[in-house]
Amino acid sequence: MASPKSDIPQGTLDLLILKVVALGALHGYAIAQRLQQISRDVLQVQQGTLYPALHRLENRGLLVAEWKLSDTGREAKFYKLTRKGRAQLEHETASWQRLAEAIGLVLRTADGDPS
Amino acid sequence: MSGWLRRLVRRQQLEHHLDAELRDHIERQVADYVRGGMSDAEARRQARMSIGGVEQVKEQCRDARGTMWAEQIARDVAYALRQLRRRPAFWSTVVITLVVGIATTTTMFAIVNGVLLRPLPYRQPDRLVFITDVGFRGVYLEMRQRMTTLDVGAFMARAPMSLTGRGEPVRLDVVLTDARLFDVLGVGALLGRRFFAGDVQPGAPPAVLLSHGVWERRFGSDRSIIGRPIMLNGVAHTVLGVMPPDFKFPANREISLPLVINPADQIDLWANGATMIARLRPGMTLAQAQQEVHTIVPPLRERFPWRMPADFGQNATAAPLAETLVGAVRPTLLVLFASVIAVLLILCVNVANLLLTRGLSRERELAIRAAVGGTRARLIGQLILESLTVSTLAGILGIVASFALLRLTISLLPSDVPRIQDISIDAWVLAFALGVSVVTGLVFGVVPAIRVTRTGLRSPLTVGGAAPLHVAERRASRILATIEFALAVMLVVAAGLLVKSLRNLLTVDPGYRVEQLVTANIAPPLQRYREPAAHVRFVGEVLTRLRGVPGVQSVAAGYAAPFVGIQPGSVFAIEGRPDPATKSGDWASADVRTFVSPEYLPLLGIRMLEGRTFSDVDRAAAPRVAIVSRSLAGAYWGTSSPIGARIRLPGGRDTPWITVVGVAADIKWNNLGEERNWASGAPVAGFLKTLYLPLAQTPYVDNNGVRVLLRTTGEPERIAANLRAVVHALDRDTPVSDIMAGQAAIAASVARPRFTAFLLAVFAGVALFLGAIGVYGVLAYAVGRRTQEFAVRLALGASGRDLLGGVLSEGARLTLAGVVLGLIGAFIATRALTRLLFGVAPADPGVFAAVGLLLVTIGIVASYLPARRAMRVSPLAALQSE
Repeated sequence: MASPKSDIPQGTLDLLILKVVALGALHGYAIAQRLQQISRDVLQVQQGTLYPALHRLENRGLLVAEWKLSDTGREAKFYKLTRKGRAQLEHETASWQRLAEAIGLVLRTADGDPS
Repeated sequence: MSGWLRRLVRRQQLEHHLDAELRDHIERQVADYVRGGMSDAEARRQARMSIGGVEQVKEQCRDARGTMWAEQIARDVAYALRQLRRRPAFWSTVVITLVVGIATTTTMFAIVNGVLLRPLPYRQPDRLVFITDVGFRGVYLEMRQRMTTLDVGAFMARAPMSLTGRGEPVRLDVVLTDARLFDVLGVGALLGRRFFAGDVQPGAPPAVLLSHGVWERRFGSDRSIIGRPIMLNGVAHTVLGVMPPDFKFPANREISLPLVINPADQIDLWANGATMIARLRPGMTLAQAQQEVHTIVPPLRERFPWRMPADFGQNATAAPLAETLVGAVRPTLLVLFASVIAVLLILCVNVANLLLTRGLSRERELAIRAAVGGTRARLIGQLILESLTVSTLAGILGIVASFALLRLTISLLPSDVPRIQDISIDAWVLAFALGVSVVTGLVFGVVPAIRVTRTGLRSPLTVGGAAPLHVAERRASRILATIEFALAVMLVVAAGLLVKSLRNLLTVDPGYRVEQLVTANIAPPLQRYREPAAHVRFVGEVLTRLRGVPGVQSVAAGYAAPFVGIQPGSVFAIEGRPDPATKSGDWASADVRTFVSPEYLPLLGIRMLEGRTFSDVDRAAAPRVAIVSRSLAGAYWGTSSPIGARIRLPGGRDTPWITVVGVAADIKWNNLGEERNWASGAPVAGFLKTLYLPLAQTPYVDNNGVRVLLRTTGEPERIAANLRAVVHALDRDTPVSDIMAGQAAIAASVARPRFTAFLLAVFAGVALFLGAIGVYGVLAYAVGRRTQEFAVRLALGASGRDLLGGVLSEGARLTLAGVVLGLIGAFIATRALTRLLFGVAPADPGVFAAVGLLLVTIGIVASYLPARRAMRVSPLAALQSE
């Protein structure tokens, strides 16, 4: 059995989803499209891993879903950030930035300080 | 949790939504691709590919929902049940095997639970103790007054009494109980009242308590019996009360009379017995009680009117009551229980091997399920759940079966097993059975599940026929078969030892002729035959009339008969030696003293080694004579002859001297193995020292009755009716009881070892069969999987013989490993049998060697059959089938 490739760590995918959904309610396909655009094809998001992640976040109460009539004339499942999800997003973003800065600092120091 | 529960309940709807959501995604993707210029079909293909496996995604979404495991269990149980229906032959074999194992284990546990584990039916039973190794009424009175750690009560089993005036006279088992015993045990009467202090005073009116059983059987549950008299041994006794159904009198007796102790009667006080049961007083420990017993009992030696052994009371102690009651059967029951567990383990291993080999042929199914989104953990869980479903099903059927099996087993249990009435299937037994079912399912399910999924997930979907066995799988099933064989070896060794021990026991010569011997007890009522002369005349008349009965060769009478009932021994003085009555000498003692008619020794076929046997000359007025057994002669006269020596029974200077006129060969009185002292229960090395005296010279008569012995020419059983008719024609109120054939009496004495050996032999047989099946199964399966390999080897020039040899040697290795492991295990485990063995060491080389040989042979036979199939592989057919 082929194990699903997730080229980005799971926590990161969750963070990106929260970020995308923070701008407004979106259905799964739209989220996938936005992720693709935002990451400009640098990050390869396997679409197969998107839905389990959505369900997981819904299950944890970070997202809430609603079935609404969509542009296609069919009902689609729209995901929206909950208050808990927004708090989580802020917290995650902050800690991600701290981590990124720390890593950047380490890399810069290692490069620029030969002594 | 409510959300979780809602999600679980709304599973269908969620499932529907999940489907719709993914479909929506794909449709949008398709629309985008089509807009980008793709053909519709191509767009659809691309869209499906971009999402990966739809089923896999769904599976992962379900996983993410968190209700997975509960849903899965429901689905897997349903799946497992579908599996059962799809392969009924295979699974019914498995279920039946397990039902047998679980039912047997449950039954055995019910017995262990009832006899060994369940608390005694008294208030705070763990506070009850038994006073061992000292049992005199004088000692009891002293302890009752002086012990500060214990509340002491006492009882005394006595000979049965005749109940007359209510139809045919019957004998009832009697126990004498002190009023204090009821306080100690904490029980009262169901109807009427129990004994109180006034009832056990000397001179109190005769009274009796009935057990619930006797009240139902003999008195038709008549409530008005309370306060009314019943005739026991011809004396009216007032019924004071009926005891509750769950209360058994000590020693399982039917009625109880007051244990009357007269403190003024020094002989009664220091010669007669009392068995003591006590309760630890609040705050006292067993150790403190034991300490106090050690302090109080030994000095009482000085209070006896005669000299007691120097070590009197040294071994007296307080022991937990439950332990005293069941200690003797504990080794037997534990050995049987361990054997049942071993059989169950073998069953599990067998089933595990079945699943393993069958599981390997399910690898396609497993590969498909893995491909549609099952992870390995998920598949393992599913296979284990399959096993658990099967074992639970088998457990439920097994519990049902164990009700019937338990009833059968109880009817087979030797009657000397204590607490038989406490055996039943209670909540503990049910819990145990269910626990065993689950554990069984895990034991036989886990290994195959892990092994099978390893292959199943590895083998590609394209594999058409049977794949060659992987080394690991073959090793697993070989190890299982080896363990199985080793367990079988252990059981067969244990059974072998017990059977050999039983054979040793049965070949012991009891010293008298057992064949066509019938004994019975007759108890002439004392109110008519209190005088020894009248009593002897009545017995003589019975014997005369019996001689005339067709089929009766000879008749005799005596107060004791071997293996049906013996009399207590007696101390005696020997003329010319220091007089023990004056405390300056020691009493000689006989373990058995019995009065017998002249025909007694010849009828039993007991050889006279010296002197003469009794004859009609030895009547009441004639000089007193005695015959001693060889062991008694050896103990007091050494190698010199006792003929002509004179002895005297206790009773003062007026008791007549008795002349020894003969020495008789020894016989076994009670037990073909180790004999025990009648009073103390202590083991006696060799034979019981016996003193025979003429019945005509008996100085007293008691209620115990006399044993009639008949040597018959025809069927012993047919004598019974005649016997009753003869006795009742002479006296209607004389009960005839305990009619028993000689062989039956001996058989009853070995009932317990016979039962143990029988059950263990059955278990061993089953184990042996399963072990052989196990070896056969593993090899047969391996041969089946290797057909193509064999075909190739044959085509390349290997001979059938080579293949036969290869498979045979694999079987032999497996068998040998099992046998060696099993023998080592048996060497360690059979030590637990030591107390059950007679004349066999637990590591008896003969048994070990025989079992080893037998099992190696069986193993090789079991591997020969598959090996022969390997030899007959047709290379052409096998290769073509590919």
